[in-house]
Amino acid sequence: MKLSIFNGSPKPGVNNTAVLLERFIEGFEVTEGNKAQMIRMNHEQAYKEAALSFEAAEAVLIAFPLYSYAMPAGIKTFFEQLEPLLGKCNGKKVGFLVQYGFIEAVHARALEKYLEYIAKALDCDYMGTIIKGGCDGLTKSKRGAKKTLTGAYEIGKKFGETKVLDKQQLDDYSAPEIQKQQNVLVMKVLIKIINKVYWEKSLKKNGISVEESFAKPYGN
Amino acid sequence: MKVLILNGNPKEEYGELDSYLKDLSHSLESKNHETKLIMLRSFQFHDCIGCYTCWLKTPGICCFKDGMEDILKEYLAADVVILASPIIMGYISALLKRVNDRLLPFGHPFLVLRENRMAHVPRYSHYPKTTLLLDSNEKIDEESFKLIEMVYKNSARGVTKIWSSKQEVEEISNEVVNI
Repeated sequence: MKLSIFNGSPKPGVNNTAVLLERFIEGFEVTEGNKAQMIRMNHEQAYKEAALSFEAAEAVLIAFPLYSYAMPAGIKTFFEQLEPLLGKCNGKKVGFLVQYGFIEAVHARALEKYLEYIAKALDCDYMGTIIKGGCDGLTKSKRGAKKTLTGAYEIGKKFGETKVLDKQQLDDYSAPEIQKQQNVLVMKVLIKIINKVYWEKSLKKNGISVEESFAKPYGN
Repeated sequence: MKVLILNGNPKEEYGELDSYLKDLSHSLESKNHETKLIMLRSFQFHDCIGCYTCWLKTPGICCFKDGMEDILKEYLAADVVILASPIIMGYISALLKRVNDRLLPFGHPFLVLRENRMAHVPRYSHYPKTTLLLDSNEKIDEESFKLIEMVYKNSARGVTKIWSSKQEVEEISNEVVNI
């Protein structure tokens, strides 16, 4: 199977989406004959060109970070380029990968419904959406994210073998859906640690105190 | 009451939404509400690139100086913000989504747990009531309307109200006032 993978991270350089995709592809290409082609799109011209690659592709995975609970504006620009293809994709296989910082899967569930809807409106064969939270900082520390990366590899591997995204495997990978009541205390401690170790440290590196980080330059 | 209307219609040739919003703006003004209507397509806004400059380097201020800073100021000064867009490919326009993404400086990187899920700490002590006005003329739009509603209801700051341009201008104008 030839899989065209569109990486729609708006970042100019290294990005968490690419780190996940790398492992996914590794798994996918374990099966002989499978080949993934990466298409990077993060500027206006690239979205236009990507639309042509999309039209020509046999099977597609569209990957991006979650921005304000949906696809980033750039991916929407790409979708708008696909407007002439509405109802004309003849069952082209399309799947999505959405990654973000918050841990719970629930943040991307409404978007997932939209992605399924738009894939079907294009007359594509919607394969599913890989949802993974807790991905902020993948580019910085791969060691701390072993499970996340192994999971991406395993999903790629199984997809490579069966040519379908396994719903159960995706759900296991995305868990937890929300924080269970009994976990709330643990999560509150974890969040304190993330704020301290991850965010405060990053601020400090830039010479910004916690107080300064709460600046209100535009009003109240 | 101060009302800010952001017109996210990307197409000049599609004048219906433009004139609808002008009527809405006049209607609100006739009720003595200070109303500002901004045409987003007359700006060249950059996409948010997730660089976190507005969180970690110049707190509250974006790395791009392309006119968005004035919109952020207007946004915070308003009591009600109406985000208006035609439905294109089942969602709000890329133009409006770009502005939506660029609201990142309104948040702070620190996390909190709210309703059993993570959220970011707000930067400002209060925000205007944000609403959506969707223009739905095409045939695939009814389903899209529901999906857009679902996405925005799932979001942390949410939206107070979602309107359709199929509604009468007066109806919406009255609801804005009583929001």
